[in-house]
Amino acid sequence: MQVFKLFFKIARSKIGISLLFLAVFMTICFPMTRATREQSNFEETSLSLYIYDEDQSEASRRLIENLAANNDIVELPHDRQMILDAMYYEIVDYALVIRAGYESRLLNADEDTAEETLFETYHMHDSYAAAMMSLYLNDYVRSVRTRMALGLELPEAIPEAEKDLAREIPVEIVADPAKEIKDENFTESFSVFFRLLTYIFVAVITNALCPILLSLNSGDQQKRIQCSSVSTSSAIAQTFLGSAVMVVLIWLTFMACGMILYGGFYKGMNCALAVGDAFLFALLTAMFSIFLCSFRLGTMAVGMISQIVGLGMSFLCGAFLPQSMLDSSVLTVGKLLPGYWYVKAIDILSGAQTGTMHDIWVCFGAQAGFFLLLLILTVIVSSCQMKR
Amino acid sequence: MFFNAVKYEILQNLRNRQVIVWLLLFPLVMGVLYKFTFGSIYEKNSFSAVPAAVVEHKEDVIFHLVMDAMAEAKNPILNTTYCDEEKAYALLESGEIKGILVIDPPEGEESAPVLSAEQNAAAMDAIRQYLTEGRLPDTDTEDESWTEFLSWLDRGYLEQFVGMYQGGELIPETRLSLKVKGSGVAQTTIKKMAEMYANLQIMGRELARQNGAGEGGNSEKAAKVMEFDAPVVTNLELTKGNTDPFASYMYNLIAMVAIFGSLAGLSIAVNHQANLSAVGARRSCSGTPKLIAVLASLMGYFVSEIACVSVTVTFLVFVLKVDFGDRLPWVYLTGVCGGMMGVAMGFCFGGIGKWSQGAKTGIIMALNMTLCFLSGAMVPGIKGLLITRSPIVNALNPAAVVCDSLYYLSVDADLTRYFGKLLAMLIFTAVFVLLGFLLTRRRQYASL
Amino acid sequence: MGKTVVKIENLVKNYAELRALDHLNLEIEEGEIFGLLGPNGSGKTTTISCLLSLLSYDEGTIRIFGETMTPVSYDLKSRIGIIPQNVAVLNELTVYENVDCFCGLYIKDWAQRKQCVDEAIAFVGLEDFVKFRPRKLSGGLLRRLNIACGIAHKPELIILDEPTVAVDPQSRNKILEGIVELNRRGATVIYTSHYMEEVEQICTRICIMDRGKKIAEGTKDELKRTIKNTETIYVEMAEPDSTVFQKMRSLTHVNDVNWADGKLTVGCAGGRHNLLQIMELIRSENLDFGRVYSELPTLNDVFLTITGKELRDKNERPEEPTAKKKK
Repeated sequence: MQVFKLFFKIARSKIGISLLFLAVFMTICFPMTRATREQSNFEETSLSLYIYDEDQSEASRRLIENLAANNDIVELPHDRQMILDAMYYEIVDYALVIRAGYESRLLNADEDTAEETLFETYHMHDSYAAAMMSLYLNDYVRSVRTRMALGLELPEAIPEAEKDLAREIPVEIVADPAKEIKDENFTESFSVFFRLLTYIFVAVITNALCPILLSLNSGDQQKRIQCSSVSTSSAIAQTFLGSAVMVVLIWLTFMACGMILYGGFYKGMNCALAVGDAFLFALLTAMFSIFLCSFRLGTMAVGMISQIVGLGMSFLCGAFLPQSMLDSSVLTVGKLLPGYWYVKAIDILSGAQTGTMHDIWVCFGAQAGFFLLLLILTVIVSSCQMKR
Repeated sequence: MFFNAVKYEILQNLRNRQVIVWLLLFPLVMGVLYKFTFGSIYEKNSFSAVPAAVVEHKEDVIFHLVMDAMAEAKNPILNTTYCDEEKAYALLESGEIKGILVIDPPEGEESAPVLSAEQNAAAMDAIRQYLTEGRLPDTDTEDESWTEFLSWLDRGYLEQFVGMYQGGELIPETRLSLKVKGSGVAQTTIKKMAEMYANLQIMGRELARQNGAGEGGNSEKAAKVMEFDAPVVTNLELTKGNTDPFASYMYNLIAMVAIFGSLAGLSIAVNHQANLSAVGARRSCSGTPKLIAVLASLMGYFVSEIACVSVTVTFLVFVLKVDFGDRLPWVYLTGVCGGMMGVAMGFCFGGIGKWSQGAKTGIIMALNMTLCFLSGAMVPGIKGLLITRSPIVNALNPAAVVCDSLYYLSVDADLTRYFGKLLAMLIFTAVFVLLGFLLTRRRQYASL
Repeated sequence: MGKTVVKIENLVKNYAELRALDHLNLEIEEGEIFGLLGPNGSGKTTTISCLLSLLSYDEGTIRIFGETMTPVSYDLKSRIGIIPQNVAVLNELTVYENVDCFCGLYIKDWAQRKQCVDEAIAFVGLEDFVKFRPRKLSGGLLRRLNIACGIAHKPELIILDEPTVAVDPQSRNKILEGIVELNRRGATVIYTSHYMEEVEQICTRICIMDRGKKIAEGTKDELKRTIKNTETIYVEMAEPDSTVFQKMRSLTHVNDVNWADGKLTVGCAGGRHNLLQIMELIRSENLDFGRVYSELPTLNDVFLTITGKELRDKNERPEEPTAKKKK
């Protein structure tokens, strides 16, 4: 097992960089996995609101309290540029200004004109948040004014209007158990970690494996191995074995880190399937690294290709942005990459996409297919290189 | 001598595969990838009327009126499809709609048969006939749903139907409910719309009750309020610039090219230190003061980096047609300053420690990817997260500084904030260069 | 006597607990080819690095051209040319560009520099390779490029640190001839090597170092005279009996007599007819013999005699110290 031992001797000398990448990517995963909120039963989407009250009246205060009950109020200085930044980076979904004279004009609808409205909103682009808030504010004002028109004074009309607005219609989440396999142990927020592994595995595994494989395949090193008593097939098998062991170690490390984010051992079938999916993808990435190194490219070329493949696959396959956001043409191209099937399986398991166990097996099968394809291509390229 | 050294540094860079790959090829490939991925994502995910299905187990004409009125608005919120339950579930399953609004009769009440538009008109005629002549039309007809409707009237709902008609406005009492596949902003919008209608319904019936009870004055006023549909919110445009949040990926691409200049800058320190390279030893023994030699190298690398960033910007603007606004010269200037900052960063880092150039290259690549990630080059939400939780990280991240400057150029009316970022880049450059000098100025070593 | 170009006095350099240079004293005259000889780890490169102010040292003084050498002695540095042990060229530049780039660190005037570069390239015989990049050059050509980069500015003092490592014999010969020519043109040369035959071939004066100390210094003839055996005679024959051994030892100028592997070895000191008297003794004893030959001592013999050991192997080498910042 000399080649196997040599493999790990080289690996040991390069462990620093691998650990560095590990630390960097775990740092990346932590905030991203925790940032996404969990939603199990139907929950109304609450918005992040910025509210500036120019009126400073009792009526405006009541409105703000009402809005704060179901939304998050973001504190910001009343600075146009800060509001712009907050809206651009989606810290604030909706910026509302309660204009001066709100309370007095609330009493008289006739004073409203298209220019002199009760509220202003800082508009960036049409959005669901803007539509929702516009609807709600119209409804609020109408309810208050209607109650006043029915004989109540403003201080009594507001609570009555708020009661009207608090009436909810029943909402039922329709799910066909026969068609979906979502379970509460593997949530969408936690699945972000597994989605990010698309890029992380490509970056870490190629950066860990490729330098070792390039070293083993370098002119003098390879000649030394070929001149030894180790047969070519044995050398190749030992190299594969070394790569497999290294990949398993990397996969185990990230699964262990995932457990930290999860808060304990993984529970449920969906978690197990997600872990298995990650394993399959890790093996696939290792095979890709071996394929890349069979071309005997330099370290720099390998580095560039791995970055392009890692980033490209992550964008095209829905690792960084959900697949539901991507255009159909992008997804068409994405389907030609193994990352798409990996992410799709994760999305189905987490409930981000609908799907059945059959769909999961299709995803696994597609990845296995890519693995075999890379294996065959590697054998062909290696044979050509050896003949040369 | 100085310009001779600058000339050869530029030549070296232009022939250096690492420079060509990371500072020219990589950004162009990523630019094409970003353009392809994000080119139409903004349009796809921008606001459009939420598609919903409506299943009526009880006819609600007022609902139709309200929905029709809202559909004619400039930016309709809902796009409703009226259909039966089976079709509605199919649409929901396929994702063509976001929710199903179900209109049921009140509890205990039998659902009225749903009529077509012609049958609705016929029903109105039938009621008029009943009120004038005291009788309903014959049931002898082949139209089954009409027969069913007449039979429903017969089962005791005639008076209710006439009462609604005589009230002057048909405000049926209905129960609304919503069926969705999951939570989300679209589903919440449908819910809010339905609750608004339910509210209108309740207020309308209250008004009708008061009107019927002779409390005409207030109810008339209230009715007028309810009919009033002038907008209560004015939109103030925040910026005339590019508000596409995915444009930040392109800004980050330029930031990436700038920061990758550190790979080139790294070699300056290595090639000027005797304990790091043989060339460094040769240069350290030369008759040229180290400061001048290093400055010449820096100049050469700055020029090369500026050329690479300029090519990237030109490619993005003129080939990929990325919208950077109408301040293109400032975009180039940002690239120039960012590139210099990247080179200086590499130069400073290259002077630290005695690791080999290969090891330092690996470390700086990891650092670059981290900085780019923290600037939002991969996952968009991280930028907002850092702005709220740790703005200092953004302020000190060279990649974020470049990205922010391009963002300010695009969205700000004036250039105040932009100049602030430009100044930050120049300060970073000066600090990195100074630190680099301090680290490489060491003229004698304890060992080589 | 020419004037002193380099004067090293009591130089001490420690790497942590290892003393790399132990009170080294050297004086190099103008116009010499001064050889610094010693096995790996003897302190040759350390001496050169200290001389060039690349390495800090703990005690002693170094003066070049009569001035104290410091890291900022740029005037002194401009008169020195360095050919380091590791090839120090820029891989992205061609041969011509490399020489021009490094010459530019010394000569500002373009016309003068161009002339110097052309001459340097012609001197090392790389005219046919001016457009080649270092990757395309063989080991020998690369070494010649390394030399061209160090001598283009026509320095008065040239320091070559093992310039013929891994070089083919043809290129090696060319390099050695070139060094002699440079010296002939007026440069003082310091040449370090662990190839004794090279040093013996070109150096006018030699210093042998071991473990950071100077253990011998002088011309090659002076050094050879320091060892006991100035001539060694070899006779192929069967092992003689003790009587013959005794008789042979009693001959004049004979220092020692040994027999091993079918060969009689006789070491002699002084005398001009040693071979004759040994052959007369053998004949008088009627002993059969095969080939007979005589060898004069080499520097290797000098070194072995002085140090009493073979070329040091890796286990005995001192460990590489860790770098520490200069105060």
